[in-house]
Amino acid sequence: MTAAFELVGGRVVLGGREVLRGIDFTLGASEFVAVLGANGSGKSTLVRTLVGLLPLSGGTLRVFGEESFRDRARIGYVPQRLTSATGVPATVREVVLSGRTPRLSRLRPVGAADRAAATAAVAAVGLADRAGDRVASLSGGQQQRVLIARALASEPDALVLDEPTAGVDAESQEAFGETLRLLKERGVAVLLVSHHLGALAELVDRVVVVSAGEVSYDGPVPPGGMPDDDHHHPGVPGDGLWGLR
Amino acid sequence: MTLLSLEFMRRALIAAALVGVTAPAIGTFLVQRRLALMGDGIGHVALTGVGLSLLLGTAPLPTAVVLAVAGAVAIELLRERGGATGDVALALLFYGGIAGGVLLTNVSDAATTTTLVSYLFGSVSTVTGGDLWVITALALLVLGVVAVFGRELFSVCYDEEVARASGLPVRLLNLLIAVTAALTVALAMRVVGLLLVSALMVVPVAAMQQVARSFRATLLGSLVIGVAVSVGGLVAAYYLDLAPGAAIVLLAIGVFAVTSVAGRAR
Repeated sequence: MTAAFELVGGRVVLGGREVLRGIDFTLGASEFVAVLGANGSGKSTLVRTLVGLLPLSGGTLRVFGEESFRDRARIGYVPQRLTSATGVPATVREVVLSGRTPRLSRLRPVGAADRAAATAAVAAVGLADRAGDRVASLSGGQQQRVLIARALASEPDALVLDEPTAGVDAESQEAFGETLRLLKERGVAVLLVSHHLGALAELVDRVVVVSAGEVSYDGPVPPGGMPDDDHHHPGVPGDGLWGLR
Repeated sequence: MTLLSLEFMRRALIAAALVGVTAPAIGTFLVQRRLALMGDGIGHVALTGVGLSLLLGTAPLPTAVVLAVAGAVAIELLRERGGATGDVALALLFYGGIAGGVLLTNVSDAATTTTLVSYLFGSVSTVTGGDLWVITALALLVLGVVAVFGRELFSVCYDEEVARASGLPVRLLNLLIAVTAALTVALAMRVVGLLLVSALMVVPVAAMQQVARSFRATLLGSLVIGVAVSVGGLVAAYYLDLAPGAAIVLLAIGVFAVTSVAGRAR
């Protein structure tokens, strides 16, 4: 199977500064990869580049084998921050259903299959009982789950999540882990950017550590320890990077 | 009924109803994007169009449409660039629009500043048969855009970054919102006036926000409020001898006050 993402020698310049400095990164089909790194390491830039939000200044990016990838609905993207703080109310169902929009042609109305996919996505994040509620009335963690459900509604082949568990309540953390387990079973490729893997570590096939715009580690989750990049400088495995918290 | 036996009032009522349904339709998306004041900015620029038409002797409405669309595209491109420069550039466009309108009107022999006032605050009773056709065509165009592109506009207004990542033509859709807003400003110009048009785009939506849970209910409800206050305000203005544009807007604000109390009580 073709890899979801294959970035070779990726360079990205933001505001005159080279944030990614020749990164190689691959997310295989059905692979679950966690990207770790300190704040400012470039991991968010990497993710935004992969989903097509930032242009490369060097290197090549193949998405599902294509350099000029068009069918972006195959990728579900969950951004880091909530951008849903808009003025007009919207229900959970409406926001999740909007995840189908890229898949629909302009004049075709929303059909039964779209509604079913949205309902399944809402259920997958454990919010079935809140589907008719205003998104703004949910907790931060629940709102984050709405964004995940929106990404799932398009039934993507790859899911990219940028720090989805930052500041999320325990119940939502648990629901989130359950969702990811389900996706992994279905063979969806998952790219998870995170500070703490916690219980998710067992789902992860491979860990990539980004530091100063370069990959400093790319391999399996080391046994007996989980990554802890908040307290150590990532980059040199063996210097305590994988130490227990 | 004496009201409907008057030709000019029949035209005025139709024009008001069309504006009432159109302005909140695009206004809902502007509010969602937190661009509630965009209509205002476009209105300022459209005033230069009015001044230009008075100077050149062309029809005011089509000239205002052209200027409003040009202004809206400029505003959107400046907004896209973002940052403080964009902010200042927007201000320049706003004030330049008003000043340009006043200046051109004064230069032209045809009219005085009094003429300008009728465009600033509306003069729905002077809507001609020709105006009504243009207003109808513009209203159908705006409602058509909302019907066909509504789903994509929702995605872009709700979360522009994810919309872009999912492959939607974000820039095109943003320009579409701007142009549609410009058409709405132009068609509402004769009814509520360029300075009050933004109120009709925003206030019915704000009123529905207080009580609605869904986007759909907000959109549809604001159309109902829009038509009700436009027609109601015009009728009230006729019987009480008030300025129609102002009556419409104040009635809309009254509805907002009511729904906002109702929303809090829930």
